[in-house]
Amino acid sequence: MTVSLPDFPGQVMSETVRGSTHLLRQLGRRRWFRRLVVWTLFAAIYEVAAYIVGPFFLPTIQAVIGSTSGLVSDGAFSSLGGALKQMIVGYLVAVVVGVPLGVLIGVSRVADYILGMYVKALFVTSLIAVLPLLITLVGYGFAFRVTVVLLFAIFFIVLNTAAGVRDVDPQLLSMGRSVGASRLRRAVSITLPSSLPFIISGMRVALANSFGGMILAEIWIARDFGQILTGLAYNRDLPKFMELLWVITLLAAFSAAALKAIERRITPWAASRR
Amino acid sequence: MQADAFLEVRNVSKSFRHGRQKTGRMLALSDVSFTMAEGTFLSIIGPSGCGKSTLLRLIDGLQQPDSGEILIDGKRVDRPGRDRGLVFQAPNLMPWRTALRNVTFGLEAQGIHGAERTRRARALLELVGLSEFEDFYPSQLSGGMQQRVGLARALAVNPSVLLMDEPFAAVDAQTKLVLQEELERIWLMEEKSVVFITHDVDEALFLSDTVLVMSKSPGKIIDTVHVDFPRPRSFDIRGSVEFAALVRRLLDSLRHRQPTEDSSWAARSISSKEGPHDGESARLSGPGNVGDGSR
Amino acid sequence: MNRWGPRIFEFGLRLASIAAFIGVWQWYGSDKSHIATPPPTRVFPALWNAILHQGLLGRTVGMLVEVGVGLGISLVFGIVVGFAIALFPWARDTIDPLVDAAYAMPTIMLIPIIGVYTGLGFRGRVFIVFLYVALVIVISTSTGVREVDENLIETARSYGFNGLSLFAKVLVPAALAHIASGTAIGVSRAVRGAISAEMLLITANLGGFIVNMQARFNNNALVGGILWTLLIGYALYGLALWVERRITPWRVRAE
Repeated sequence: MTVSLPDFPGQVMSETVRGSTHLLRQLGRRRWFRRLVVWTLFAAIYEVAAYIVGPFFLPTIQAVIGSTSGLVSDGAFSSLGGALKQMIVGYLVAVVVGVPLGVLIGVSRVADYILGMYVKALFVTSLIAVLPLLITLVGYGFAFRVTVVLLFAIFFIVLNTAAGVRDVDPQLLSMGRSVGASRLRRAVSITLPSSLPFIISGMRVALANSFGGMILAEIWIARDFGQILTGLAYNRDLPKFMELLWVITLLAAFSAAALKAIERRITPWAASRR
Repeated sequence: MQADAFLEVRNVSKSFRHGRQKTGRMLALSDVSFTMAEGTFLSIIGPSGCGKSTLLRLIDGLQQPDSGEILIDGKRVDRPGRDRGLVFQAPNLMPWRTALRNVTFGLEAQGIHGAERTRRARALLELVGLSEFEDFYPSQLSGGMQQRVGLARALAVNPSVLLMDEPFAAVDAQTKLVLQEELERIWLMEEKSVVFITHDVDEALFLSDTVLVMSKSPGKIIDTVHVDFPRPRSFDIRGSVEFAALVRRLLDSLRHRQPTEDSSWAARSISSKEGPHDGESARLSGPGNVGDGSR
Repeated sequence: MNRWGPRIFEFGLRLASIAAFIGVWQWYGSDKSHIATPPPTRVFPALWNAILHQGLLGRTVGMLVEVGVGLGISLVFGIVVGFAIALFPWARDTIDPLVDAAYAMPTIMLIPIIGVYTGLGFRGRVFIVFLYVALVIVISTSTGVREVDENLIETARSYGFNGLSLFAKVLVPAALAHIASGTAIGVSRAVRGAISAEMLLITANLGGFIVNMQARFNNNALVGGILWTLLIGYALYGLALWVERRITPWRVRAE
């Protein structure tokens, strides 16, 4: 049974005052409004700070946006494109190698004991320390950049895949056996779908990390895109540098968001796990 | 009003917002009244969603009624207080505390310190039979054990009223029977007043002096049954003819009754021991013959 | 005896795996043409020499100090901001997306421009450690607070806790588990940040040792230093996990 009760007893005030405070209160509950207010405030504070400390320390937002044409004529975006292509190659190699390796470690205890500890160790330590050795091994070229991205990406994929494979409900598997499904059939219809959410979220984190690997490789060898980046930094051309930082951050954020959308699309049943 | 009325619920109504609408409100409790004597065991049964848990939260003071009032020992309830102890359906133990430190939890709010706090907590763990488990974390205890810790925690603050919200609903059937007998034993030792929410008719009858039956939408009290089996009660009474008759009566009330227009008769019937609805007569009236004003 | 079977099997396989790795390394490194990868028989003496005569331990301690200070600052900052995001709807709606965006930013890109603000020395390295760690603490704290069981809060309220005491008795300990695991991840990121800063900002401490050895073409000490750095990172993460288990014992015993 539903009965109507007044929500809040209104106080006595003039119509206009009540109308405007009511509107403000309504707006204050809206997320977009809160963001508009706070972000505008942040931007304003930043802009004022940038004017006070000067362009050597902080570029104004206006200057950052205004530097787009300069970046285009410098060829920064096209060389960023080249770096991204190498990153994608490294990332794809990480996926192609990492997923089977993860499945192997997840399925086989023996493989886990033999290989798992190296994966875990490299996952948590500082891979940047390996770079000087890597350079002496493969040189400064394409192979170096691809390998750095690969190293930054692969361990997330391996560990997540292994965790996903181990997470498969053993009751589902024995159900599969009891209805006479073949080993391959069980792998395709039980193990794969139930570990897919893990695999994809591993791929998502790995992609975000690939950007870090790509930038590290570029800065380390300071050629092509890395040369542009370090040049801008040494010359204190902060507007251009910041614009590149924003662009790369947005690319990383959007690609992660895109993978998340794909994740939701193809594994809708796993929503509760996230 | 009767002289020994210890807990008084007077014409309490409570409504909640209905979904996202601004004006629509769901009436959870409609003009609920009853009284309860000190040291007695009162159960409230009803279908899920009938507002019985809301009623318990109002008595505890976690929520406030829209109208009406609740008095304990003549004092109006407006916030949680140390004269009431609440036991929830889930044990709701703090997972980062051991059993002993969970029992001391309520005492900490009262500013009781050091050895005294530990001594009281140990005594209560012993009362619920968990002395050997004081250093165990909740995750290491079974559901029934966790619920005992919850009971010990509620008893530790030495409340005059124990409010229990379906405390045994989540444990298995065997454990439940054991816990019911334990609860009666503890209740007889501690001499608390207990308000016990359940949807289990057997449980309500086995434990209670008085059983209130609530209807749903709106939540109202539609029947009152007094239970006069001698205490301590043994498992055997569950097999008796009288017990079966009361079960039938409660099930009938739960199933067939329309919400009564006048629920205050229920309050009257509890408060007047000599009235037509006192325990003896209700028990003997048998199934399907529930008396006045409600059909 | 049977109970120990699987454990011996596991231990044996791991040991065999390490032995095989060192064996292959020795065989591969001994080849004269593989000059970049000296064999263990040359790397371990070089590492021992670095510890005795090249101040490797002191450099390691220097790195650990950066990690400790950076982690400490990150914890204070992260816990405060994390609680703010979790408790105030305004902060959640506005700061949360910024945290997500900042988390996507490749932190390493900031290293070339950071020196002007912080200097290239200790302060700069600590700041980079902070950049690597702080967001993880913010996110784990806000997640921990947001996931506190409503029923526990209601329980505490029914026992008369409110305001500050409710905060101290329920919210903080309930969030502690998340904060602790965030901190363990934070330790591994802090080491990463410190080493990156020591190699890229200006060469110093442990990262500096590796860069120096590369510059001097001392491959034995280079590989020794890399191995040492990787092991230190791994050991610190293990230590962090151990501490995490110690301060949240209720979770471990649940297993």
